[in-house]
Amino acid sequence: MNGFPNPLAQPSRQLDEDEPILPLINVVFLLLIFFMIAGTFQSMPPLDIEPAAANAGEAKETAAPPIAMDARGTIAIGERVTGLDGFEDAWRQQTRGNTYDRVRVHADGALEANRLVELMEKLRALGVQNVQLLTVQRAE
Amino acid sequence: MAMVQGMSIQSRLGAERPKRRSLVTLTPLIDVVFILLLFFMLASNLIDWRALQVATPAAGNPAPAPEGALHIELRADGRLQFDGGTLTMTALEQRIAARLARRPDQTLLIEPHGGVRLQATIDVLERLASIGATNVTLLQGRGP
Repeated sequence: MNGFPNPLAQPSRQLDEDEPILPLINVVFLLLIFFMIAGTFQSMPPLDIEPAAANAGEAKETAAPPIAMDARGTIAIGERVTGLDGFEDAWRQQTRGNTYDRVRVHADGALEANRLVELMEKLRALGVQNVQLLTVQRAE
Repeated sequence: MAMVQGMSIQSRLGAERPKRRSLVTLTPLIDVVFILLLFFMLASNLIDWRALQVATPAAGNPAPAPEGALHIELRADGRLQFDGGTLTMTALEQRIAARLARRPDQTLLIEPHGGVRLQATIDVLERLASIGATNVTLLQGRGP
């Protein structure tokens, strides 16, 4: 494979036949390891969101269900889609009455900022003190 | 006849090159690895999420402002209004940095006017975070 005779391969004819695909298997294994280590399993919101870009700090962990808001102001709490009007009820159902100090909000960069402020006012009334606005790193 | 011929060819080939199947073949392994690879490629995401911390505003019209908070308005034309004057981002940054040097826990109220996009607001929040502002609240915009 790499030009050097492999002493272990000598007795087996089978390995000789498989030998051309060994580099392929190596690459596939490396890709597999890369995706296993570098990727994270996060549920993505059921809305189409183009997040705003900013060079900000690390996102802190929170147990609260993630909130998403698309460019038109549609809200998703976890997998549940709602509007601004029915937000409080949907939030109470999704959190089963728990209150959270901090929540994560995925919001679209093209959203009108005041729509997000309206959502934040509702969150304040529901006991949330801090919002983490999730952004992606700016392209260099 | 054909079968007999086929068998004879096979036996002749077998005589020339004895077929020895090894106990573990690579093909099923590769299949499984490919399926795992596809699963991880589709199910995981590689986005590096960042977060800007913002305090939630108290509801009310107009919202009650904390004592001594600095009030910055974001106008739809991209200019910033602070302390009765219109400023550029760089000028605002210098003035806020001076205030933060005196009081690091200074509350900043950001009020985006109607029509201001979230990206423009986040640009301002990002610049303020970079000069050390930790106590930032977004307010409902009353302006046009």
